[in-house]
Amino acid sequence: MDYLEVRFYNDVSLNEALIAWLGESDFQMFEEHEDGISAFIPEQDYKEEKVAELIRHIPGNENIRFEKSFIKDRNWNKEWESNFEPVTISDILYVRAPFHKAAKNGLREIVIEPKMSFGTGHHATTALMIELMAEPDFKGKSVLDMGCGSGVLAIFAKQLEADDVLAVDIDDWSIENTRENCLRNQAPSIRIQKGDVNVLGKEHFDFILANINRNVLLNDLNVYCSVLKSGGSLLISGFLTEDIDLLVEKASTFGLKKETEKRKEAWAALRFIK
Amino acid sequence: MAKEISTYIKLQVKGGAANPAPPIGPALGAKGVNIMEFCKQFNARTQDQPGKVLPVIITVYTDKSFDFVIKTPPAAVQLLDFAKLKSGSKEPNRNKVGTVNWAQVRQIAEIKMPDLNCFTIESAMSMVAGTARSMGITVEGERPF
Repeated sequence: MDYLEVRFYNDVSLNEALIAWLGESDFQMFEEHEDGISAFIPEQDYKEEKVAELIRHIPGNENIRFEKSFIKDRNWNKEWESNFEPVTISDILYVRAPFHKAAKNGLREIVIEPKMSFGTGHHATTALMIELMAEPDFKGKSVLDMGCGSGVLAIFAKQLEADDVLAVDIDDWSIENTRENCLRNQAPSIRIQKGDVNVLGKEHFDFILANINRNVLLNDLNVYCSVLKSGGSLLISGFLTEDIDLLVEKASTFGLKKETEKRKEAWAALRFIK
Repeated sequence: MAKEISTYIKLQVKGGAANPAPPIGPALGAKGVNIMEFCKQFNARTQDQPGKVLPVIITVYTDKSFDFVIKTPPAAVQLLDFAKLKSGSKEPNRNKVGTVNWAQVRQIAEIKMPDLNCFTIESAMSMVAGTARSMGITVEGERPF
């Protein structure tokens, strides 16, 4: 997504007031300087009249001036992605980049070139999801991967001989990246769709995978449940161990029963059965 | 041995809203840090304060690992929350911004004391009241000290 940096020049004593007021709009991140602030916003959300209206609250605003600069979307994570170590997850799966050597001793492997998408196997939540997925039988089953990121979980489901896999993400980079990684791993049949739970139709699934975050999961559990077949499994991660109880309780209100719980570092993953 | 520090990055990011875009992307990306990892951690640790501007100080080490500390919301952000509650509208009115009272100023001063370099609660309250003025919010009632 293309961004705008709006650079404000003002007395440093007004930095805090400016950030607070601009925080009332779609500005997401700020940086302080000795002569003002920089405020960052997706270009599509920028409204000049809104900025003018917010600044008007600040006494002495006539001395505040600002200029905008356009920041073209690019892969900011390239530096890290050009040189990282491959990962082995619990003797189940070897996740590597195209520039790494292939797995030794015939371990199952997935090749990921991430491009600013989540899911390189390095994060505890990805490892936990892979471990959860290694237990049940995916053969011939239908699978939904919500928040697919790099596509690593969808590809793994396909390797476990799932029949039909749908991968969904709200992020443009993730959609593009999942597409590339599916081809790279001989999984061209995975269907890919951009969006959130609103793109889900009447289709029902044997497995739903969602490594996202606590708030999104809490919000969307009811939808996951509604598109999960009876007897099907919901596998979730992306939340902290302290949030396990909250998620288990919420899931139970939709008739989902906790089957497995896994923890790694501060993170957790759960498998529910409908 | 302690890890060698490469740099500190100070930003203010809304709770739960970190994404690999500017300024996080360029700042961390240039240092070879895995931005996706930072965003996942930051968002999980700030999920109870969605949309609230939070100062974060990120320490980047020479081995490309990182640590970060999340501070309490700036006094100005907390003042605006109180002022909005009082006016009863989510969108602050253009002309009449709203007011806060001294009890609220004290509440914020207590939270911010560690960051303000103040020895007494009164001097911290004075600073918070000054912030209120600088942003066009009136502190109602008689000054209690």
